[in-house]
Amino acid sequence: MDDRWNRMQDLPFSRLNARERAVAICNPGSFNELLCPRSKLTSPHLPAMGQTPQFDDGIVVGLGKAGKTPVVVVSQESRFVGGGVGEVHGTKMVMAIRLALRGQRILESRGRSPGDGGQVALVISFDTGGVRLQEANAGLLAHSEVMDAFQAARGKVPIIGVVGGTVGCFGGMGFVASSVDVLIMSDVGRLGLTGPGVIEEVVGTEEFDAANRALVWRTTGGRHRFITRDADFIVEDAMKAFREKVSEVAGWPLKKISEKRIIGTEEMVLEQMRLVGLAANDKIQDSWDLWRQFGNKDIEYLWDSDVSEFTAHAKRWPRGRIGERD
Amino acid sequence: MALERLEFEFIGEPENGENDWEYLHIGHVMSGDLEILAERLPAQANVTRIHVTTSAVGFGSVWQMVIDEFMATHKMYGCEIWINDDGATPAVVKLRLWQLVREMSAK
Repeated sequence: MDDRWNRMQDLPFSRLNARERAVAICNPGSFNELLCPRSKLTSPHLPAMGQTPQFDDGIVVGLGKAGKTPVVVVSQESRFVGGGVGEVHGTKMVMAIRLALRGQRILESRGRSPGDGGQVALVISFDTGGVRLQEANAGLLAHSEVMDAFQAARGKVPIIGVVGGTVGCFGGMGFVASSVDVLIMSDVGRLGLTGPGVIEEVVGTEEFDAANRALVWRTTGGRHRFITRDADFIVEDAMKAFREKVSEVAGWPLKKISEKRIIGTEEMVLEQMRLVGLAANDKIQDSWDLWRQFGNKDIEYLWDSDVSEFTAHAKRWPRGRIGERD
Repeated sequence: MALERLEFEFIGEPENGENDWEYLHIGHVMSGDLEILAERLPAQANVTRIHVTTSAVGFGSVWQMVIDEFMATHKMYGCEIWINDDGATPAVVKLRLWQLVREMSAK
């Protein structure tokens, strides 16, 4: 079993499936899946539409340990209906968050201190296009329930989001990923609301060419998200890099993690709207124009350099509140 | 639009009872692919049931051939196998079944 775990650490995060990611993000041998495929909890809606269901409904949830921190892990599988959120899929995610909160209450009632494994963290690996269209209403409802559960977890259980899969994180789940405490991305990972293909379909190729991979990645990719502070960290597309960063952040004091959150209060929303104001400007024709506005000079170098070089030299959005702190 | 459900049943003596697996899961439901869930029945069981759910309707006889050949080769008696298929070709089905056997012997 540990052999497999070791092999996965050396593979690109983007190439692993949801279950492998969940296993490999935890300490070796520590992950225990809940509602695994054997429980056959499948979508009640897909068969009616002639679509084959999958035994885990495209999501893996379970318990494990990341470093010294007990974690509840949620991992979406993009190979099954594009990682779309349906009724069962969404419910598994919501119940995982509630489980983390319950676990936290139990640990506190037993007097466990945060430094002594007494702080539960929630880790969510997003790989999704948002709502599963076949289950639109249930899927939308699940999104709002997840955000609701996030607010309930606020200041109690830190939420660490991870985006590094082949689909990335789009649609309603783009909102959800933006409301976690800390978001970790790779430069392969993409985060956005309306997906590139949909933008092209609706407003035309002249506006956004979804076949132009460079354009897609510099608009939605990890590097751009790091510069605009939608992502807190950017790591290599390596399972090991993600695991190490998750373990590190999960070990932080709760207050430090909670401070990283970018939405959830009126003040934060206003701050976020300031960034939208900057970007919705005639002078900004491309994400790189925004990079320049933040004081980045050698854009080509930043784009081509490896992640550690990029992190060391990129000038990020001088966000008012959060900028002062770090 | 409806899904097709196919059931297959085989009876025979399990070839060897040494393998230490209880349940296995491989693959994904995506266009041209399938997932397989295999559960081991109690040791004395000599029946194997294979349940196929597929979005490609009307290929029962092809499934019969692929699964007959699989059972003739591997004599996997004493388990319950569930297949969720989204239009995999016979070659892909055989590949996934082969992967299942490999995973079993690795356990």
